[in-house]
Amino acid sequence: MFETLLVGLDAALRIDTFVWISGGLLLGMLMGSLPGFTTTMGMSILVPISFLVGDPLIGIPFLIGVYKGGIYGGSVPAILISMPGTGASIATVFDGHELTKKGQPRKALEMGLYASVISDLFSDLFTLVMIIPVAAVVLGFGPPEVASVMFLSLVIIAVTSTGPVIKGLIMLCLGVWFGFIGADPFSGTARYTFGTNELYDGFHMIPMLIGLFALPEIFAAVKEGDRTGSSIARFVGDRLRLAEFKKSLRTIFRSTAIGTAIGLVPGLGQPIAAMMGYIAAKNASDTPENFGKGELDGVAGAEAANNAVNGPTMVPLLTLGIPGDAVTALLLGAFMMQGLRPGPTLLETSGEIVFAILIAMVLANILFLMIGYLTIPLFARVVTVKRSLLIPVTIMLAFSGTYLARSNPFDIVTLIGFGLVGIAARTARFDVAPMVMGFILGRELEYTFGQTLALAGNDWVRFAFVERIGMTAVVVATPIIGVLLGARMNRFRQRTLARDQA
Amino acid sequence: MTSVRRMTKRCSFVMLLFSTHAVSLAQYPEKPITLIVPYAAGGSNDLNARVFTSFIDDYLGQPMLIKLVPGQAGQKGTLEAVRSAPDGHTLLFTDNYRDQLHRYTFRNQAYDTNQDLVPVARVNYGEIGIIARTDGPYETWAQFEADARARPGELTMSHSGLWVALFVPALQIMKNLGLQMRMVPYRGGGPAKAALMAGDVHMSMAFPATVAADVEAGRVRILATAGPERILEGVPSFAEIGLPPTTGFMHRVVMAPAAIPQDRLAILRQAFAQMQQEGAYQQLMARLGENTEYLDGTDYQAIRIRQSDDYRELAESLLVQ
Amino acid sequence: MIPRQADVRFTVVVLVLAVVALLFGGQLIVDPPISLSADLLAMSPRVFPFLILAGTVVVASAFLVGQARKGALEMTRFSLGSAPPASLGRQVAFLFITVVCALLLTTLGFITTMFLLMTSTAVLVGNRSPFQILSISIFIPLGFYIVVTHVLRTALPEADIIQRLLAPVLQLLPAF
Repeated sequence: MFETLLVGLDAALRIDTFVWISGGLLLGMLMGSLPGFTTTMGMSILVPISFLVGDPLIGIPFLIGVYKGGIYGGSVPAILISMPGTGASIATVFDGHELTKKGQPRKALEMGLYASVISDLFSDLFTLVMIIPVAAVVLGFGPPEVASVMFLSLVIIAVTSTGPVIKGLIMLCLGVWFGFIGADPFSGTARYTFGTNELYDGFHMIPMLIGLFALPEIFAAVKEGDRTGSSIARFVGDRLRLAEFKKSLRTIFRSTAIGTAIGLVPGLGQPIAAMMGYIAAKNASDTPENFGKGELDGVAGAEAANNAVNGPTMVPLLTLGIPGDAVTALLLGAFMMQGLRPGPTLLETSGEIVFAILIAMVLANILFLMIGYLTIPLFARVVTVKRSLLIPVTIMLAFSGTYLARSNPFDIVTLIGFGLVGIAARTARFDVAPMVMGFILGRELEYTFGQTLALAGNDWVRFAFVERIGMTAVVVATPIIGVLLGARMNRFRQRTLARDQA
Repeated sequence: MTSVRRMTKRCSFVMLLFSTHAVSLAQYPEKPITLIVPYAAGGSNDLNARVFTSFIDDYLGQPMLIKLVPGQAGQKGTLEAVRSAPDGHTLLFTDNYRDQLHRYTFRNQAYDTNQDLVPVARVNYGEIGIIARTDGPYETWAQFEADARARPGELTMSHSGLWVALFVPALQIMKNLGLQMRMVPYRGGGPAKAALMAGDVHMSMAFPATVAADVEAGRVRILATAGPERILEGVPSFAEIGLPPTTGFMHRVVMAPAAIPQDRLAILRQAFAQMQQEGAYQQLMARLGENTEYLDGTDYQAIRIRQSDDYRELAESLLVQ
Repeated sequence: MIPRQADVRFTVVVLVLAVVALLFGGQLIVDPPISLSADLLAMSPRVFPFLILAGTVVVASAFLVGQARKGALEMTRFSLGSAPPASLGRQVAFLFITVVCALLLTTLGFITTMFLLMTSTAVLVGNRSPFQILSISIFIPLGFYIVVTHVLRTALPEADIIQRLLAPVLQLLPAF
């Protein structure tokens, strides 16, 4: 095995590999920063190019570079104009945009970059070293385990949202219900669609995100109006100081661990990782009340977690040939076009290619750091533009990004609809984060729960306590964790209230 | 043949085609053709489509571009194809379940595949197989069948979604052999196979190409294969175990809107027929693990009608319960 | 603005929505033609929606009860808060424009609709320079359209006239 590693290392360390990975990273960043143009779309357009290159050692790392660049790229509009470019950047909006409003866009972008790079690096190294044991672990995660973890996540999100828990719960329930509108995942039954074809597919996540996060900001700007000269931030702001970065180092490592763990469980994905990383950072912080008001640690927590998911998600693909999500499905297609059959035999027959690809992923991070560092000042400059010019461009991006995602005019309706919901929620001081997460998790939870029911059959006592003890453990632990976390958050809330009133 | 040489070969072929076009009178197709593929990215249908669309342009003179439109078990893409202008520049890639079965299982007034779509060619078909883990309790189909009869409703099978490639044959098995199994849904053939490997379910089904690597590695055993005759040594065929001969076949078909002009349809059909001769196409399909059992559109139409009856019977038998 | 008033209003709307969805669940969830037994169909499509709607009703009611106890339910007073009338006009105009543009996107085409949207938003946000407004509203949608359709090869809705006008321009650009 070690020799294959060395052969792979040798194969990966070539100039043209570096050039192509850098190209992929840059393209990915640009595409990710265009809201609505999801990484999957970008990758599908570029798959033919990766094929034409002819060499899987270049073509595959190229696509992986696009993927990584895309995840980071999504944080750029999230931070600058409160528009999450992808689902992975949801949690980045909370503190990222507040930092921009405080005149610190560059700091936020840099923290996002460093957090992303470090976590990606460690997560890839972990995957590289532990690929065999990880494969065994991943296979052990079936629907019951995934369902229980999702349930736990929902509870955590509900109790740690900004504001009173009960408001968080209301938004969560609302979000989950929005997720049920459309076709039922088991039988295709139309639910709450009023017979329309458009709603049969359900609401699409991108216009919902843009509507909930970006439109209220635009609306607020319209409400204030008449300040022709002002911009969101006068300068790009200071660079990130070493001291500030060091303070968040622990958060970054914690989020890396969280993201890697979530990457191991099939079906969870980046948005959940980002939220969990963010919430963990908030919980561990001395000043959780600052989260949501422009806390660098929040950006670090979110961005580190969403990038750490990459490494482990590749494992089922590389070891078993099973794609876990749309991106790995594309990569599977790209592999097969190159004549590689990912699966249990790939490691034995073409092990050096697998290792070379993984090593290329690790190296990509270093290039990532350099490219990101050079492009940040350019991106950050966007917010120095006059508000009265930036806002019209933002709303244009909102509309076009929405249409780009699926070429479906109904998405624009979704955009406006959720924009109104977002505006109403902001006025009523409800946090939209639980609603978004409820939407994402609710559907998946229903599906995995249904799968669990089918697996359990009639003898569910034995199923729960003998076969799937892991699931039962998580389910039992969930209310305990929920209460503990909720109490802790409450204490901080009382402290803030007391302080504000004093 | 390296991809660069293949590209050059195809480019020169295209240039030759264009030079002869100068004298020929045929105008169609004058712009690229869109092939709507209503499947998820990276699935077997997507991959099959990418292969043949990369070769068909030599025979049509224009590229055939894939447009992925997943959603609603293929209804979304099918609707788009049906509503497109029937000038031969938009085609649909579909399979027999969507074509003939879904009319009975999904409420849909927007189109009728028999009236609105006409087959151009059947590109190939997949024959499904019943799979079990090698380290599991079942070595032969007979053993599994016996166990299933002894414990109705207790054995579990993973499938890739309601009314598609893995579910329908399983339903036919249960109906024809009088077995009762619990079906556990998964999002696609890959996760269904993973569930079997993890030991979560007792049995599953897969197209032999998907599990070839696992069979080689000795992790998966094929218990039976579709069709009237045996494909593998010592493995019974579906006909032998008591199933109708058409069980478990997924036909991959390219269709066009029914109102397409006949001469354009003929050009398309001819292009697909000619493509079968190309060695490189055969090779790439073989690399994917798929066959190239081509059938002309008119021949496939006969099969369609037969399938329609079969599926209607199946649907009615389920309604009676 | 009186925050408490706003969140009570919000919650009442949610509560009403949930109750209505629960009551009319039968009509709103349409069964497929073939109903399958529990062995074949993992879970009924009605279960989870029912659970979540019931949960919503419980939680929303709990919130309203809690607010009532705190004496924050002032349902009769209707107040818009301290926002000046001009701001309200701008807000309504903005919402109106976005809805109109949303509906007209496919009819008028991308570039025209974005032009309308951008000019009106720019005016509403307070820009007074016609030069700036017109230049961004023309060049940015145009540039975006060209990048997306030509480089990214993705479709954008566009009126025939404009497509025909742009065709010669696009031919000049290098093909990707």
